[in-house]
Order: sequence, then C-alpha cells, then structure tokens
Amino acid sequence: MKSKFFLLLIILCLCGISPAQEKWERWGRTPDPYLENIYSEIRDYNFSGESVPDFLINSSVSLYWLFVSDQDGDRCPFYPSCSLFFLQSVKETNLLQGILMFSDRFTRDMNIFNRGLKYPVVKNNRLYDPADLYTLNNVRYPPVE
Amino acid sequence: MKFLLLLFLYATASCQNILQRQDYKRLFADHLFCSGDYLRAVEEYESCLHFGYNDTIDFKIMLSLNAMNKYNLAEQKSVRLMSNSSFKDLVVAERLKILMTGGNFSGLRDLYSASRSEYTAAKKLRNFSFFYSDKDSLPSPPYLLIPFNEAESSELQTLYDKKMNLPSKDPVLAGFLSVMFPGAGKIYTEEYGDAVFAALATGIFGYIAYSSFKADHTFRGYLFSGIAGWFYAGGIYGSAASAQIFNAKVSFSFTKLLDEYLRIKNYFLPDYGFCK
Repeated sequence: MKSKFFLLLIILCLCGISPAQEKWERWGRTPDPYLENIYSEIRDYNFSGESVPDFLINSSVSLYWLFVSDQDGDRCPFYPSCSLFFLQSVKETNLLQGILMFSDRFTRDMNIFNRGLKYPVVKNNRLYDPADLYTLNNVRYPPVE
Repeated sequence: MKFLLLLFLYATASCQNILQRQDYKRLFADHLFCSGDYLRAVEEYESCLHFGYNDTIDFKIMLSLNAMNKYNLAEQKSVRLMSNSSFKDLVVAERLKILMTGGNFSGLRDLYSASRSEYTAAKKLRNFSFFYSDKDSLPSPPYLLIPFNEAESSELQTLYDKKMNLPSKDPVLAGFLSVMFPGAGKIYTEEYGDAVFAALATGIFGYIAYSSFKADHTFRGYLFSGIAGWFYAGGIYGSAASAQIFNAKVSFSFTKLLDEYLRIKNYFLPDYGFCK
C-alpha cells in the first residue's frame, strides 16, 4: 500500500515538473480547398434534357467528349474548355446567345499571341475564361496575376 | 517521505504556467499581435479581459479582427468600444476603415454623419471614399480635398484627374464597327490579336464559300457561308463583350490603385505604437 502511494506521488511529481505544451508554433496557412472545385473540370456525360434542344445540345457535347475530346487528350488551353464553355453559355443565357458566345470563344482560342498576359493562368497552365464574363450582364474582370 | 511530500508541493506550485498570470498573458498576447499572429492574439486578449475590462485590449482585439478581414466581428467590437472607450475618435476612424476595406462606402458616409466626428483621419476617409463612387457623384476638388494636407492634396488631385479621364469603350460602337468590318470592334477595344483572327476566320470561310458558289458547288457554298456567318456574328457579339470587359478592367485597375494608396497611407490613421 505504502509503495503504491510512493509510486503515485512520484508520478504526480513528474507530471508537475514536466513542461506543459505551449503554443509556440504559429498556425500555418491552410490550403484553399475551394480552388480544387473551381479548377477541376468534371464532365457530366448527359444524354437527357428537359426539352428537345436541351437534349440535342447535351447529347452532342457528350458524344463529342466521348468520341473526340477524350480520345484526343486534354488539349484545350482554356478553363473551362470550349465544349464546357458552350454548355455553360447556353445554360446561363439562351441557345442563340450561347452559340454567339461560343463563336467568339472559338476565335479567341485561335489567337495564339500573348494569351498568358490576357487571361489569369490557373491549374495546369490553363487560361481562366469563364462563360459568365461574356453574358453582357455580369460585367467583371478577373485579374491577371 | 517528507522529502517526497515537499517535492510534490514544490512541483505543484511550480507547474503553474507563467502564461496564466495576467501580466505575462498580456505580454504574450502583445507578442502574438506584433508578430501578426492575430488569431491567437485575439484568443489571448479575450482571456486577458477575464481579469477586468481594459479598452486598450478591446481596441487591439478590434484591430486584430480587422487585420484578419473579420469585418462583422470587428464592427461588433467597435460598437461596444464606441460607447465605452477613452479614445472614441480612433474607434470611429477604425470603424470607417473597416467599412472602407469591406467596400461599404455608403455605410461609411452614414456612420461619419452619425458620429459627427471632427477627427481629421475620419474626415479624410469619408472624403476618400468618394473616389470609389461613380464619376458623376464625385464632388469637386475644393470640397473633396479640404481635410488633406498639401502633399496629399497634390496626390489626390492627380487621382481625381485620372478618375475623371478614365478610358472607356462603348459596347454598341464596338459591335457596330464589327458589323462594318470583321475584327474592327476588337481593334477599338485594343484586342489586336483577336481582331486579326476574327477577320481571318470570317474572310477565309467567306472566300471558300464564294469560290464554292463560283464552282457550282452549292451545298459546300451554303455550308461555308454558314460558318463564315457564324464567325461574323460571333465577332460582333464578342466586340461588345470585349468593350464591357475593357471598362471593367480599367475600373479594376483604378480601384487597385486607390487600395494601394490607402495601404501606403495606412488609411490616414496614426501609428499607435503598439509594437515598438
């Protein structure tokens, strides 16, 4: 009994003498998880639609992804890619305006000069050029860093 | 046995963390504050307040929250300080800074009017907020520059002139120019590379369509006419969008310039000397 009491006393002494953990290390910067969601393109192969034009657009883009884009590889210099840009354009505006926005994107895609200075460069050296910039309603400017 | 009991008592007494003492706790909090570790500084300062209220500590908490862009929390803290502080003027100016950094310029001017502050930094912040407004709602320089000293007035006059003469592009004109000639609207919006490729795309497909019709290849003629028309219409639309983006870019650059000026001037606030 006595030895147990001594042992307990020694343990308590050690606990008291041992230094407490202090918060000397500064809290580090956490990675930005929202960037992963923004810059990773998730392809939604969709062969359905709420209306006939919607079905045709979704199906044709999905077929293009399956049989052309996926086979050819990840080549589009932009994020979102031209096909996804077209889908987003139609969703955010209407079919006619989406087609015009896609045509303009296609022309800009052909321009190989000084693209890195004009668009913000994001993951995998993609040029950030979202559809909502060109709807004529949402006037904003993504800064080129 | 006696020795162990004494050792136990000594250990229990010495194990008290020196940081639990009020003066050391505050020193530690000051150290965190000055090394920019605002999150933990707030935590330590808050625990200092358990020993008794101190408006300097409360003020430092507000500064830390503001530095971490926690504008809502900082504003809540400043409201309490306004009613219970020996340095009300500084708190008003800091609140104006919070609203300025949060982009709430109308709120800033409302607060200034409500506080009736005669503090120079508060007046300067109120007047500087007009630079973020539209060109039409910018007051004339004699009124705008009243609270500023000579050197600042000179710098702000330059900013005023720049604001009044910001370059702007008309989307309708850009679209019209592209109707006249493919790519002309993009030249107007200073997107020269895009202009060349817009003109080339329309021109090449238009020529192929023309030569197809000429060679009696009707289907091919219609097909390439459609593609040329698609590029032509897209060029018109793109020129209008490009003009809008040009204006947004100009506005963004000017706002960045204002932000940088405020940062250099420390929002016209004095150095509190908390970290000497």
